Amino acid sequence: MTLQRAQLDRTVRWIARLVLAGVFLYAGYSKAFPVEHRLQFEITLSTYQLLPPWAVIAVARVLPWLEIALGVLLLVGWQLRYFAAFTALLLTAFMIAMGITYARGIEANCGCFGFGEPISPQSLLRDSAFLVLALYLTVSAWRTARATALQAQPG
Amino acid sequence: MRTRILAASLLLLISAGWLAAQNTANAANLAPDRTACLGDREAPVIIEVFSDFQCPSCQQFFFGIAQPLLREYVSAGMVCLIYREMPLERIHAHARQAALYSVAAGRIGRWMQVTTILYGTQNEWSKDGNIEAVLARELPEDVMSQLRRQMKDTKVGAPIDRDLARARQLGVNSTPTWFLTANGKTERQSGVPQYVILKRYLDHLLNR
Repeated sequence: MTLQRAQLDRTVRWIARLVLAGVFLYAGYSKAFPVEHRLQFEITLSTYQLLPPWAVIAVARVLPWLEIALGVLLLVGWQLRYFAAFTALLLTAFMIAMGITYARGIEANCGCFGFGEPISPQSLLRDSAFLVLALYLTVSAWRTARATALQAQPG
Repeated sequence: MRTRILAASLLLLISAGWLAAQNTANAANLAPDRTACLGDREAPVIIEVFSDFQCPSCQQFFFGIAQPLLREYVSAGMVCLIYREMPLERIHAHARQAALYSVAAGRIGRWMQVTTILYGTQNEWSKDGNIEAVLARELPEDVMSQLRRQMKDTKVGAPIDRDLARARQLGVNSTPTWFLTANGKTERQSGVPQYVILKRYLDHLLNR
């Protein structure tokens, strides 16, 4: 990789980290606080008609904190290649759930950031953009880690 | 570098908190008037539903959410339930006609009975629009005569137009869309939740 490309890659990686960290921190925070938001998130999840009630409650309890933790980890950059990959997987799962619900013609809110935003082509497009960022970050982080490992090898 | 990261995180968290507060604050301006309540107008929780008689999800909502709500919370004075007619005429050709029958039924004190019949036989009258035949089969003749008389009134559609205006005001363009108002805040939801999940939220709001 040329120096210019390496610098560009580093810049884009930084932007991707900041954007995704901000997205996940806001998404998690808006669902976790106050406690009414978690219960509203349960309602939103249940309108997807994909999970039984016990699973809806479990996901609603865990997901906001997972999103906050991911946001912090992306920001700090610790074990970036692993958590970027996990972020991409999580976003893929969101897209699949939203896509199935939309394709079935079921009215439901996205539940992405707060409440009141229905699943629509716009919300799917927006989340696709986040997924693309996460995939770029994953590939870039793995390449950087590999390059670092090669440089560290003796001889 | 670490200082920059910490500063950026703090800024992000503050912005997130402010944005989340904005969402709730803006929703507070949407609270409905209580004159159209099913149940106690002073109930601490209001649920305002925009519904289309020809919409399958609205049928699910009526039987899966509205009816248990009426039995458990509305009858106990805990929830004021408001049903708004929102026929999506562009995709549901017979929805407005069904809504007219519902409004007419409300005038003679038969809203619940006729609404239940309309949602219960949705699959039947949706195909050919022959709503009157379905109602005539299910209702006593004297009730059907009163209904027909009400349907001749040119003003029977006025409440539907008012509901549609309210839907436009609130930016509602799909059904079922519903608004839950409690403690001075209004939250918007779409679709049909599982009743047990909605119950959890209601019980929390009502401190049950």
